[in-house]
Amino acid sequence: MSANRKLNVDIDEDFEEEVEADVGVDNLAKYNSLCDDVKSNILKGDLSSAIKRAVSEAFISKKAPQDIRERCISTVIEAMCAVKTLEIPTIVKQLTNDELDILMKFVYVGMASPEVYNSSILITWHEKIVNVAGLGCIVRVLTDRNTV
Amino acid sequence: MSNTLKPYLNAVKATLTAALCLENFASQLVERHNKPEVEAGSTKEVLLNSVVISRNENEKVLIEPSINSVRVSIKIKQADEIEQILCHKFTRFLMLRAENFVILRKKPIEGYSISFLITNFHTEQMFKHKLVDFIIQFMEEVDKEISEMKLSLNARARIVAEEYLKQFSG
Amino acid sequence: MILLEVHNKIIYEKIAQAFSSTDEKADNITEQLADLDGVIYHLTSSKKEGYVVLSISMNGYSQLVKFGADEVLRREYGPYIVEPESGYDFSICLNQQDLPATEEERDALYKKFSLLKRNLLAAPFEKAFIAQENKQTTEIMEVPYRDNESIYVFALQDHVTVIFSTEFKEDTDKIFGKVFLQEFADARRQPAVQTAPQVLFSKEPPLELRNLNTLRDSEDINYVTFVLFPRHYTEGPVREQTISNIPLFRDYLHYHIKCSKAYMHSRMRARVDSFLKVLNRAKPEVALDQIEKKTASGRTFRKFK
Repeated sequence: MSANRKLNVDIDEDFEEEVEADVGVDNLAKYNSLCDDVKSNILKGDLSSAIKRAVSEAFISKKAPQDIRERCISTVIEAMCAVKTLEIPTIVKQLTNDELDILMKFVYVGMASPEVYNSSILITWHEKIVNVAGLGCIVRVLTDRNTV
Repeated sequence: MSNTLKPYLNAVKATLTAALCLENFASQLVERHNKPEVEAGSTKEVLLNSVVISRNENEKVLIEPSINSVRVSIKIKQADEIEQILCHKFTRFLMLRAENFVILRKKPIEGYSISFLITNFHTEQMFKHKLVDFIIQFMEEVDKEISEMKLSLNARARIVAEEYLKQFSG
Repeated sequence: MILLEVHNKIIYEKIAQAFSSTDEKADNITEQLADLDGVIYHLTSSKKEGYVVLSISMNGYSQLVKFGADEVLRREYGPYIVEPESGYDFSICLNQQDLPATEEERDALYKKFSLLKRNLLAAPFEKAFIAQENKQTTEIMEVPYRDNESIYVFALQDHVTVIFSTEFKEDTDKIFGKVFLQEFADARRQPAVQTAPQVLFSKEPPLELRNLNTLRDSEDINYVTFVLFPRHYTEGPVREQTISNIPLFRDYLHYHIKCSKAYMHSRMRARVDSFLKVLNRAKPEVALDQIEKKTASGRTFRKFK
């Protein structure tokens, strides 16, 4: 019997593979430079570009080593918390839809650990992003296999 | 405190509305079965990313979407042991009546106070926006109910103690 | 009803009924009655022979006798005491021909019968109060009036201490009990009850009791201490009042814990109804699949089920 015959047509066996994309050395470097860029922008007080830089890489970090992943998340959320409430809408408006999707992923990841991050600021971000990008943005967070 | 409640509920509302896009989906594994996939968990590709919306450490909502069902788990604020026992009593009381509540799960998910399970059959029979409203209203009133119960307990205790001791001061 | 009644209402009414009713059918009463703290009464009467017998059985009766319960009972019920019925600790009998002439006196007598439990428990208190008035101290008198729960009474140089050990069996009771006891301890801040006895509570046995070997070691036991000063037991009505009220403390506390639970329950019931109403609002009045849909040409079709 050929391998084809044994294939279970109902279940997508290749499914897991899709997410398994490896994190190469290049990507590791990318993460690090991302963190550094965001950090330096925060220090400069240029929060708008800090956020913009934070959402510039559509990377898969589920497979990244835990410490690097956490470093990325905490840096990005640090940038978000540094923004004044009144300035959030202006920054959100400058971003494209794809960038907002990535930003929204960070919002949800942050809210998942309320003991570490300040939830009320993230909820404000959530509200402002939904105002601009609509519910579709949330749907894409729920469905995208490439999670932050 | 309550000025953070509204945005929190709004975030839950938006996420729930987004998550409640359900369709009929027959089990991939068992012929002629139709199970809520989020509970069965046997077919990974129809499960979506679960998200948490938190107000603080003690109040959060876990939303686990899948193709034909969404599980919503709520952690209710419990500041002290009185609130803890009242919350426990109240949620248990509700869950004993889960049959009437259709979307209520009889047991909460580990780490949460109460869970709901909404399937495509519920969304076919009921208005989705009103289902969302129900969950939101539930979250609002549960907090209120528990703090009112606590107040009434304290008030009763005070009156009871005073009345008893008054007998000795006459 | 916030406060509990001291006398047993059923006994009072039954005795009155036994002597006053002319109804032939309500002839002979043979009844077993329960009172607070596991007390069992046995009430028998015979219309023909014109008597009523009341018997009581109570936990810790033998201890109470040691603290002078006999004298108290003899003082209160002297001429009515009879041999105890088998299975009971103490019996009194009232004959029709002994009844006083006036209505009021009869009523007072019935009332006295219905206070049997209270008078039985009075002995250690009286003993302690009298000892303290004479500037004497007493040993610790333990009355194991319920399984696992006791009252400890003893006189010290300048006051009398009454300690209750009370057990909360359920988790809810434990927490509600704590709230109530806290209020008892704090109540003296209120101006209206500033002269009331001081109330303390603890999970640990109070120092005075540490040396007793009858203490049960359990997480669920709470100790409540009342510190009574001479103004709480000056001879006369004040003392009688105190003796009536103090032993009821445990019942009063538990009664109100039960009441709070019942109240919570009724609240939750109401709240569940209101939640159900909200949920039912989500259901359309006409089920969605019942709505007739027409095609452009006027044909109807229904969702196939």
